[in-house]
Amino acid sequence: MKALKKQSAASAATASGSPVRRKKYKKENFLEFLCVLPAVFLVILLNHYPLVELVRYSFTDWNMLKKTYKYVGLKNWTWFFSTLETNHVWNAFKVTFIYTVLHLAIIIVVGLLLALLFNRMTKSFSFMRSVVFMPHYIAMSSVAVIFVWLFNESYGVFNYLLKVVGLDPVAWLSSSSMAIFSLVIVASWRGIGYNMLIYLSAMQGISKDYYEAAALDGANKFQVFRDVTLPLLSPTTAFLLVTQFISSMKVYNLVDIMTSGGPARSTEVMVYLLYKMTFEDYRIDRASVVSILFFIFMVIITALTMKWQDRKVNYDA
Amino acid sequence: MKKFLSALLVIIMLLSITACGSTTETPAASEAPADAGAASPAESAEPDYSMYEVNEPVTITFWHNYSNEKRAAFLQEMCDKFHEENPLITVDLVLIGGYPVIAEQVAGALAAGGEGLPTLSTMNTPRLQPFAASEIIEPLDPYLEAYGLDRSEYYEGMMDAMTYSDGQLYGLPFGISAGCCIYNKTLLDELNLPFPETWEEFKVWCKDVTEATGKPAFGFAYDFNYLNTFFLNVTGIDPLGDGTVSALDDERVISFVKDVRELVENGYALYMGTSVNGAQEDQQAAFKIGEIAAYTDTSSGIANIMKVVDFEVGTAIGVTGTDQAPISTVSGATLLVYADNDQIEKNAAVQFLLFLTNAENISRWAVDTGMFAVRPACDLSAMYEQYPGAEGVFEHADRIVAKNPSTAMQKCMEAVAGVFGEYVKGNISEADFDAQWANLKAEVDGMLADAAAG
Repeated sequence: MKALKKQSAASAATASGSPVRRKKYKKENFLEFLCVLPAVFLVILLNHYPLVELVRYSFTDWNMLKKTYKYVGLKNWTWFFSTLETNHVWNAFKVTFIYTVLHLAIIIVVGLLLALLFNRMTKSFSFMRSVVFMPHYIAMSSVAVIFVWLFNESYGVFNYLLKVVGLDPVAWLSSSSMAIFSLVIVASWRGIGYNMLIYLSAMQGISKDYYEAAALDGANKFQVFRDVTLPLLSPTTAFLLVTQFISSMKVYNLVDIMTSGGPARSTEVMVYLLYKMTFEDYRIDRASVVSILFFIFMVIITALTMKWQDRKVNYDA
Repeated sequence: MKKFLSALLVIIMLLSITACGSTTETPAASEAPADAGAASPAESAEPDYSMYEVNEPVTITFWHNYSNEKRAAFLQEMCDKFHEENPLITVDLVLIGGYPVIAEQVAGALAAGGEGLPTLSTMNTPRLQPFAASEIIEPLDPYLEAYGLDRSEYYEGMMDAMTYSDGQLYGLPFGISAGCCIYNKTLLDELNLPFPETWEEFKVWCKDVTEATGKPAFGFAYDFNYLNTFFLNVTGIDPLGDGTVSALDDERVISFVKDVRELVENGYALYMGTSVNGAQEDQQAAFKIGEIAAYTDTSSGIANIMKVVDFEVGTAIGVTGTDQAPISTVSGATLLVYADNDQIEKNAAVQFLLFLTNAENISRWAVDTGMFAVRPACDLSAMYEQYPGAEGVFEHADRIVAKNPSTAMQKCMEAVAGVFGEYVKGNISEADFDAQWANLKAEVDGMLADAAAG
């Protein structure tokens, strides 16, 4: 961070040099601006403009099928705060949050532990790393279809194995209290390898000097991990937390294929609910309200994480 | 630079708000074809049937959902045969995907101003109501009149399901299926326990079969369609009432719910699956290996299950709790013509639909696919030869009726199936049931009222 500040100060000093230099600097700056302009235009067109449209839809009665629509003021917003149906939205929010927290906890912790385990540059460890990472290559929809059968209450492999060791079968997907955990298991199985790989590459970037200094100070392995590795991996942890949080909150495929939100809405996540509101109930007007609130929540959480990152994350590695 | 970019962004956002804010039309409205507002023949004093002619070459696009090779081949054969008989009309058959995918693509095409909208498509019947309400599909009564066809040539219940609240017909029944019961006839004959006809007999039958086999007798499904059929037959009333206020607090409804819980609790029946998608595979697998003696399924599953089991199969529409014969409700595909097409294309599309659903072709379709024949004039003897036992359902096509007309029907029954399933599986205690069921009623009534208010 400090280095970056120094660099920009140096650039500013250059810019404030002779008029010829300043002119050249401005011209270069303008050319750079022109180069990024198409990208900025595309981002505005494909990201920001739809967001503005979403806000507009939330004040209309459009259903995606009608050719015309009316502006209905705050009707859709008051709906959100005044009907029993909103319970479904809160339920979806709760389900999504539980899923995300559990999923993040597992993939970050287990990913880190596996990275520590496989942080050796031998052929056999390289092979094992590939095995752990392999599920990430499989499309989520394929994973979901396979696990539906593995989890089958009557004929699934998991319950067969439980039966073999003398345990009772588990209603993996048909129990409202278990289904969400089953989804977390599947998503984590697929996601751990990616986290492990990111952590591994970050570990490779930590200077050996730190470990030598810790060894000279007589630190044991746990102390080295706690006081050297973990703090120096904090930028990676922050990166994974933000990106995986956003991606987990947007889970859809898994739910659509494995449970369709059931049983009894126990796995109905936000994006699945939004899809149903938009394409089954044809209420994009209300779905817009829910989307906007969901978006605001995501922005707040991401901003808080970034703030935490600025304070706590160590960039010295 | 930052300030400049911020200003640029703000200007673009403001422009997009003001540019769009002054209109109440989507692009589709401004680009609607000139003939879309033309008076329909029903409004004319003297019907002018000439507008329904196809007198120049035209190509129509038909989106469908039949990925099954046999079904897709049948449709292609029909398109080719139709073109032979009507050289001016070419049907471009396009497999899009399941109903939700077709619905998404249609919504996308409409949002894009109608560009890319097909001339006709298959669609699951519940979507006909919102499509008709939004006037994106063509009312077909004037066409039937022009082409000299009477509604009564199709089954009444199926045509009712294709009719919107304005009384107009908006689709033709085609890939129709309905909830039914499928049983292991060989086993039941051996046990001398024939499949029951009434709900009281059913409860005793479940107990007897379980005692004789040591296995659950019946597989209920976590599927609101099948559940709805049971509600209708056993209680004699629609759990969603007249579509504005539900009848979930009716004693007969509550008594049925408690009966099913008792059956499941005692191990006489199973409640299978996690949701609308999850039940059928489990049930069919359990039935195939003899873990259950009977189960509830869609009629379109009869042919498939008969192909994979090594015992004789029997079928029934359902069991009744009243003095009425059991009924079932219309599911499966309807054929829709999209209003935002040229008149000549719509004419060609309707002519093709009538060809596709004529007695000869729809009989073949039913025999080939195990779907309902939609006309009483159809000959299904070939189907009964191929699938003996299927007549228990297909002989009673006149007992297939329209579902509750509320556009919130599906959503409400999903909510009912959710609480019903939790109670039946013992996840809701007896002590909590009354409160949970009352909450469900309040929620469902709210959804019905909301749908009625539009």
